[in-house]
Amino acid sequence: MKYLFKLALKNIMKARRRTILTFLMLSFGVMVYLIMESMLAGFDKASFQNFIDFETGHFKIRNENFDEDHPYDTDYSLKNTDQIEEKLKNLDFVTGYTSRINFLSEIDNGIDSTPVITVGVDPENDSKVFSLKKYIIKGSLEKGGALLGKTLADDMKVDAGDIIYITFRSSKGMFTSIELLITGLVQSADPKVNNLTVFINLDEAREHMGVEGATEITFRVKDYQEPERYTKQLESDFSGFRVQSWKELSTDFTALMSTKRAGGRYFLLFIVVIALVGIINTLLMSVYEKRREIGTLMALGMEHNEIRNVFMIEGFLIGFFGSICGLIIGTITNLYFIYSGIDYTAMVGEGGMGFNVMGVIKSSWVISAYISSLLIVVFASVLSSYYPAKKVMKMNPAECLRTVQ
Amino acid sequence: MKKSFLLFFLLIPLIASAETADEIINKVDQNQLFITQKYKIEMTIKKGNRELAKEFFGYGQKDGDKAFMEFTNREDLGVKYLKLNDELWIYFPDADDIMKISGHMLKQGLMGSDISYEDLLETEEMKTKYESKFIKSENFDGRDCYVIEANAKVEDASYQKQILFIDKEKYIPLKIEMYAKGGRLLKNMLLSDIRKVGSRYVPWKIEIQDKRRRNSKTTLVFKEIIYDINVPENTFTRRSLKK
Amino acid sequence: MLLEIKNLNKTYHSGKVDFQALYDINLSIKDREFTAIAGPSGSGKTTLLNSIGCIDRVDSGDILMMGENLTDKTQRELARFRRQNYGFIFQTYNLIPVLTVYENVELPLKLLKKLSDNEIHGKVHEMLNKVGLQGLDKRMPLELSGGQQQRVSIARALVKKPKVVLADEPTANLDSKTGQTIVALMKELNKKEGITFLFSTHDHFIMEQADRLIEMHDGRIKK
Ligand SMILES: Nc1ncnc2c1ncn2[C@@H]1O[C@H](COP(=O)(O)OP(=O)(O)O)[C@@H](O)[C@H]1O
Ligand SMILES: [Mg+2]
Repeated sequence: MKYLFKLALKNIMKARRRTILTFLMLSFGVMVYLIMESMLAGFDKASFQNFIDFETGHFKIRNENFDEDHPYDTDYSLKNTDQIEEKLKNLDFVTGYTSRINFLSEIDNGIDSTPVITVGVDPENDSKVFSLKKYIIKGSLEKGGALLGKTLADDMKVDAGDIIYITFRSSKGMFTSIELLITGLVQSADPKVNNLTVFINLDEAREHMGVEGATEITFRVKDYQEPERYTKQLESDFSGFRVQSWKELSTDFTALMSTKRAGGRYFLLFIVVIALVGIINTLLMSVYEKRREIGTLMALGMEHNEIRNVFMIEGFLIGFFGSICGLIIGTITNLYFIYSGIDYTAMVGEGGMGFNVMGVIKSSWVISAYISSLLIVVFASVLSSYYPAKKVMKMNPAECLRTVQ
Repeated sequence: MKKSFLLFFLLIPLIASAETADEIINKVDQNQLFITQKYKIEMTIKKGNRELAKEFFGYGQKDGDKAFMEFTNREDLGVKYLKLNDELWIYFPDADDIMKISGHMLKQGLMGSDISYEDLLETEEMKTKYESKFIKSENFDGRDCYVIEANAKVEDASYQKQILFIDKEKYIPLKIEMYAKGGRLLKNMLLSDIRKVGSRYVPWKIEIQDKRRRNSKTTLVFKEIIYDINVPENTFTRRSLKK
Repeated sequence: MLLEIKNLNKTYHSGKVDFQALYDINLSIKDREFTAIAGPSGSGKTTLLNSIGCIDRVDSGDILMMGENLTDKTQRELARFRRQNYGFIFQTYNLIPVLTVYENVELPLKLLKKLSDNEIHGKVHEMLNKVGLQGLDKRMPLELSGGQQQRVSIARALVKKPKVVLADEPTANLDSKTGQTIVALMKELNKKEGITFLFSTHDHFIMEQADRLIEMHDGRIKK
């Protein structure tokens, strides 16, 4: 067996153009797969971070009857926010909390209008939970003013210092239109914040909307990776409310992510097809071209199945070294993507790619991509070499030796 | 009669009170009283330089506040709306799917018009939610009109204030101005081409202008309207949407 | 008697046409004999050698080698038998192009799977010396002349000390002078190593070198 490996290796080393092409295609495929998986994992990580930093926080407390299908309805809000905040303040594992009111409105400049999410923000506490403040690029949020997503402001052709209106129906149902001075602009890594959100003062939101408390209180905890450890206490402390961790709040999001990640798997399937087609073709031609060599080996006393195995080992080696080569080049290329990252917004525009991210994204290492691409490509290569290799079994040595070349 | 256009094809009568202004409004309601109705409408949506033309027919029934509409223009062929009391469903033939309209989506315009889905659901009554008072008489569009100001009495009225210009002879509002809380004029509704259908006057043309956008208006023109006919059976059921 | 062939018949079936290439061949070869098979092209020399070498099936008859009947062995048994007892030399040399001279000669020993690398090394170098290729062990076959390639092929056939070496027109691709030195080498090894040679040729000068000449015509041995 060891000798057969040596023979196969010699054959590969002196490979013809076809073999080299198959090899390169496999390497390239594996390389792209690796880069793609790492990129998707990077997106995944960044998306989750954004989701936590801009939307879910670590935990949310909401009205028991809060309707997830209509998250911007103010029908079910929290009345006694002060009381809840006081309780949170006394929990040692809570590192920050804030109240927000979310509702839908339409923003207009007297020429155009567009639906937006309006968020009433507590100016004192918000930055203890959300990253909003860090991403303000101009001005600040002030009383009687509004903080607009940069993209939204651009779309509405307004800037800080301009006046806009938001129109909505108060919680009771009356059309309400308020005039706001844009006191700041925000540009974050979360497209939702940039494209369709208007931030106003929490107290003003309460007044205009006719809501007493808030629609949600969001807070951060010490160990957010394992929110489960706090659920029991939170449930008993806040019975009668809906308390959910970021994990529970992101189930739809997680599902969306995993469908996006499936893209990588389809790509792997594509490489497998290259392996099948490339290796079958290469080996079939090789078996045909090497008939006299095969006849010679048979005359020298090599058994049919040993010669078949040499060809299968060749298939294995093309797959194995092709993958290894792809993984090495992929890893080297990935170093850049992982340590420097790439500004995807600059590449594909602010619409993004349906991911919850913007700006520079760094890829992540995905160990499983190494293992799965190596195993699957090697397996597909050996499998696809079986069909051409088994042609050897039916060959007659005398006939092989007679072939003129 | 606060009203979005649906008064005229989706809707309900108003109940008048004893005051002068209320009496006028009462007469307006009398004119619009019906048991069932069938109509055919051409709708033009103008947004800036863009103009969209749509066509639909529909049935209304006062009892149970029911309405059914079906679009017949090419782009929206087969799109159907069903309103039962305060719920609204839309059927899209391309997706072969019935969708319940709620939340966020209610704010959006019906087929891109200035009429929101919410307007379709409007069922509130003038008498219970507004305090009407006569302001003055004024000539509008060449007609003698009563100018009536209706101020919201309660927080759950849609508008803080509405100003109606009502034709003194025909008891049809020729113009309704709708103001949001904060005093801003949101929408204007203009009614014209008043024709007599049986015993009532019907505005053959209704124009809704969204004052928050420039050059944005929706125009409805009746092609046909018949009152108190027999509505085909099962029209107001969800099954009729998928048919 | 080393090799005995009895009533051997072989028919080729190509498409719908059947062609009988060997008719009732009877032949005995003694140990250490240096035998030439002569005959015009198409007379059945290759077919006979292939049959003896068990790299082709025959229709009827027996091939007995050291008393063992080879015609009723399986394909795998035959492969093993060849490995032990036969050496092959081809008209077109048939060296493995991706292997060096050394590796080509080493191949039959590797297939035997019973010698250590050291033993193999010794045998290969000894054999290369015998065929006059010392110093060329790292060359690739295509870097050699035809005569050199055929020497490698002879070394490959002899390195395992087989009972019989079968050579099908070993000189046909070489110029006559080189051909003669190749036959001289074969004869030398036949004498020194005591290995039986059976080779085909249609070169008169080469036939004359043989201890014994078998003439073939139309699939039969001329008496
Ligand atoms: N595979 C084959 N199918 C049909 N006929 C064959 C085949 N191989 C050889 N022959 C025929 O058998 C005869 C003997 O061939 P061969 O043994 O090669 O003769 P030689 O080696 O003496 O030239 C020739 O007439 C040849 O045409
Ligand atoms: Mg021949």
